[in-house]
Amino acid sequence: MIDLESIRDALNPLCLVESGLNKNGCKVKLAAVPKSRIVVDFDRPGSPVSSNDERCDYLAFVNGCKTDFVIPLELMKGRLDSSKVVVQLQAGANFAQNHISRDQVVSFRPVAVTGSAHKYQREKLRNSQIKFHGKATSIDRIACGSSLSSIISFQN
Amino acid sequence: MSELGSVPSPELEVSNFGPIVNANIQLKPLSVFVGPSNTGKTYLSILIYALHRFFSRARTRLDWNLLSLQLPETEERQLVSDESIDALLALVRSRVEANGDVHRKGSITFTPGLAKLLNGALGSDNGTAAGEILRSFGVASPSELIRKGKSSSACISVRRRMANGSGSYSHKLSLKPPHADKATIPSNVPLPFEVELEYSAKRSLSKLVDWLDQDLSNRDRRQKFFVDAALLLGCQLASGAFGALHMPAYYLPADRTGMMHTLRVVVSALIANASSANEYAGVRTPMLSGVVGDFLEQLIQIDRHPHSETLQELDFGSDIEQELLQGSVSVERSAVNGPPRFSFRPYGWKVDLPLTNSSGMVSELVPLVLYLRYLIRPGHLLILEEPESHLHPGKQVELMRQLAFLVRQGVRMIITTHSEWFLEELSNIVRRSALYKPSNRDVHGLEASLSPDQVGVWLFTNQKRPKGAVVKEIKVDESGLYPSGYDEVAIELHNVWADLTRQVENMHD
Repeated sequence: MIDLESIRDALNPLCLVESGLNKNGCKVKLAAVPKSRIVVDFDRPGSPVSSNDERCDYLAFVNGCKTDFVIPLELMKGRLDSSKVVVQLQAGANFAQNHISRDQVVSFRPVAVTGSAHKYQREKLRNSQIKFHGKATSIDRIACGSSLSSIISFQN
Repeated sequence: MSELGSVPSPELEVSNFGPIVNANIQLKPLSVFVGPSNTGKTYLSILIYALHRFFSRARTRLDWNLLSLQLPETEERQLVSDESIDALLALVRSRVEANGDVHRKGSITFTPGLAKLLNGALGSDNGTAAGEILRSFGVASPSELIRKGKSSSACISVRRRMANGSGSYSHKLSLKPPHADKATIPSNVPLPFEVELEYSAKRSLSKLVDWLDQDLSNRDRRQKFFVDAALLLGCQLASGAFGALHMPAYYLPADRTGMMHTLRVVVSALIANASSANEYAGVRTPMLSGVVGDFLEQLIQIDRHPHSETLQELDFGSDIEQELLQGSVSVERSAVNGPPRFSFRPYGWKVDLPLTNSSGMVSELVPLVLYLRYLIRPGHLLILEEPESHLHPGKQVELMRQLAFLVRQGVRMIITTHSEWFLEELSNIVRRSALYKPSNRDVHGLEASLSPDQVGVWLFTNQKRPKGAVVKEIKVDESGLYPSGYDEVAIELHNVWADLTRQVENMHD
């Protein structure tokens, strides 16, 4: 189980959000996502990563019934730029590594939240992976307006 | 773009029709129907086809001489306003004065007496519009077209609003026996008309030129001139009342490939069956839907159209032969009467291939090439079901470009499609129109660009309550694509793949 309290203590409470994930009109619902969670909004005051550095939009730590999740999210409503998404999600993974030890068992699920995507960008995203503690993982996709629960429901 | 292609369509409102709960659409020069199967795309397409047939034939049903005689004496037998007569005279005069092709617009205003007669002739209690709809669908009873559930009647309404809010023309019908058709053609509402002095209109106008030398100060003479003009220009004058619905429509149904392969067999069987009807009394010829029957009939007569020679000069199909088929399509007839034989010769070959030995793409595109060569001209409507069938994605993209080019030439089009490639190319075609400036004509591909107001993409989706399909227009979104729902499938596939990848990698850890 992820030690959510330790992570919370290490972060400025101003950058934590309970719900209402929204960047430039692209929203993500947290309905049916376990309440035992922390969501960091890197754009809010007190963000642990400077706006001059690469960072993803949100990072969620979720303790589920069977599985615990670390989920960096990049939201992109307009034209999908897969290269940019990969860089941002990797930055989110790098930040998450500071709070989750290498030997802790979690499901690492980087998520790109997008509008419609051109085939080339879809292909590019499909062929990209994000490394977390040295292990490469494929990126999941959900549509703007969807719930994050679709990613974690079958493992929760 | 040809002016004829810009003739506005009326608003079409449909409720409880087939699977459709409600649809309220205004067709554009290019209208694309997308969405899951069984949501009514074909239903709406066939309905529009039937309405075109009804309205385009209405003009031939209207006997203007008879109408003028039916006018009550109190109306002084005046059919239209004096200004309308002047507009028509100006049209004829422009024919005399102009050397080249001329496009003319004007308006006519019906008197109350004529409006009443027209309403009676167009909207009648004998269900002529409903009859055409039943024929086009190939059903015997209207109940087969009414949405299942609590609805007891399907309603169809077409309405053409005039500019400046001066009034509207409408036609409503209810598919519940007895059919109720009601036309509302108002008097004193100027009805725009437009005539492109090409094709038959040029010839028709020539026959009116003699009127220019006559004294038209007498009211009876003026009205007689109008009757002549209405008879000769019926199509063009009528186009104002219900917009593009007055123009002929052609329907290329799905499964064209199979029909092309079996055409000669089917026709031979039908002829044999018909000729032995007395011998086998009681044997019924199987029923075809109107769209399929019309398609087969038009193919059989394809090179015998009265204007086929004129139209071959335009030959809208040649680009598709060059760019997609890379070969030529020919129609051959045997010495004895019978259905034509269609064949295909790839460029560089010395022999023709029968369609049965050609690729699926060839069989798919041959009817389109033939229709474009022999039947279709600017202002006509072409309804094309699933044009992507049997085409490689690269060819689908090229076909979309060719179709956009045709729309720019004035051919109106409705396409039903499940092709993401088609829609993605269409979004590029619309995007490209932003480059258009009069000084920018050399930009590559600009001939296949369409402005956003020339294109309507309609998404058909199912809803739970009331159960059935609804239709909404979708626009290009921030990502530059039409939000057609295809991406949901891509997301699902992507995530299954990502999950499988994770599982495989975990297995090896």
